[in-house]
Amino acid sequence: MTGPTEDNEGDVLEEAVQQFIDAQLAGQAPDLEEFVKDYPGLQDQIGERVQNLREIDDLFSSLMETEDSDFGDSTVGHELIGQKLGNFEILDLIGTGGMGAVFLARQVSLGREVALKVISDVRGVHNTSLERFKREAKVLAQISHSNSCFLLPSTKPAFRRRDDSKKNSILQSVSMPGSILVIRVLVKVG
Amino acid sequence: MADTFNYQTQRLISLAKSGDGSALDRLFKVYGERVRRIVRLRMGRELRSKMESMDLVQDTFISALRGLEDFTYKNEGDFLRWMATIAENRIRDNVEILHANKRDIRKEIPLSSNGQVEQDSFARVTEPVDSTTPSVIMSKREDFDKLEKAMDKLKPEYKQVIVLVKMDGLSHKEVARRLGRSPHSDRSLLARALAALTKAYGEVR
Repeated sequence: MTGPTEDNEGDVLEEAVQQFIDAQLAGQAPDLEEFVKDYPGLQDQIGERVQNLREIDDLFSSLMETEDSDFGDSTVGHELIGQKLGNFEILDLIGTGGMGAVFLARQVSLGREVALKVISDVRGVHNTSLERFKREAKVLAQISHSNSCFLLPSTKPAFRRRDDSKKNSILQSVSMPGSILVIRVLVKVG
Repeated sequence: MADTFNYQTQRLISLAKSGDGSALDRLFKVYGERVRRIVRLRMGRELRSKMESMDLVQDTFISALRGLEDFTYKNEGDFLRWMATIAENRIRDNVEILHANKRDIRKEIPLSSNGQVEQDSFARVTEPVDSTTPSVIMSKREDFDKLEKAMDKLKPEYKQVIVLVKMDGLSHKEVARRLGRSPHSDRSLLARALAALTKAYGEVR
């Protein structure tokens, strides 16, 4: 294709952008770098419009889909303090995030204090977050130092189902058959 | 898009139905700004300006949340559209009433002072939208403002097809059926509409 004249530049640009978007809608995933080669002199403008499209798509997606961070610390909090989760006594809340909370806990069997990360409700965590958590666990598993990090090796449900109203969802989620173990010891504190 | 299932939402809805005020507050914080944005994007500029001047937004959320008792959560998209539809209808109804009464909308008192609403168990959510909530939506408010202005610049048919696909979650086939077009021509219309939107979005920066 020859370069556009000033007269028809606008029309060519609109046609190019429409073609690019139409190809995307048809599931063709066009390569922008390759695509703009057919439109000499309009590469930057086409690129800018495609960037606008990405921003717009992102806005609509974030509007129609919630993220874990939107829920804040709605599901895990101080109600666990003073409770016992398996081999751990929950002593204090260190902090909360989109996926859950980190507690100061005592590992009873070894008599030491640790940081314990708890996912609020594994069923309510988006797959991407769950994958992120698993990746984090894998990385931590590769570090071996007395003052760094370690993991609980278990992959089986570790806690009995309880009926206490406020703790119910959390404890049920870890005791669900087939669910991953949602409690990991991350950082050695003491 | 948006047909994901979020157990946290389902759980909060269940708690809110049983009268848990904190769960209702949380729903309001997570979804209030989203619903407000959806309604604003769907509305025309004129109706939107009236909605702002009447400060009806908060009341429409309360109205929608009151209806939670009859709502069955299926997925995120359904929940958002259900909330937004109630909010939008409520706004349109009140605009008509206010016009009929020939009252100056700029002096209207927010409908949250309505006694009936106050008596309802869901009327607990009477705080303004929490602008400090660190949500994704709030962090992008300037971009959403630009998107609104860009949508205002579009032809009605362009705006309609974008709303149907991007916010109502309809497939190309469903949109084509709704608009009485072939799926191919519908895709072409959507491509033209989105191209126009990318242009308008760039211009309002």
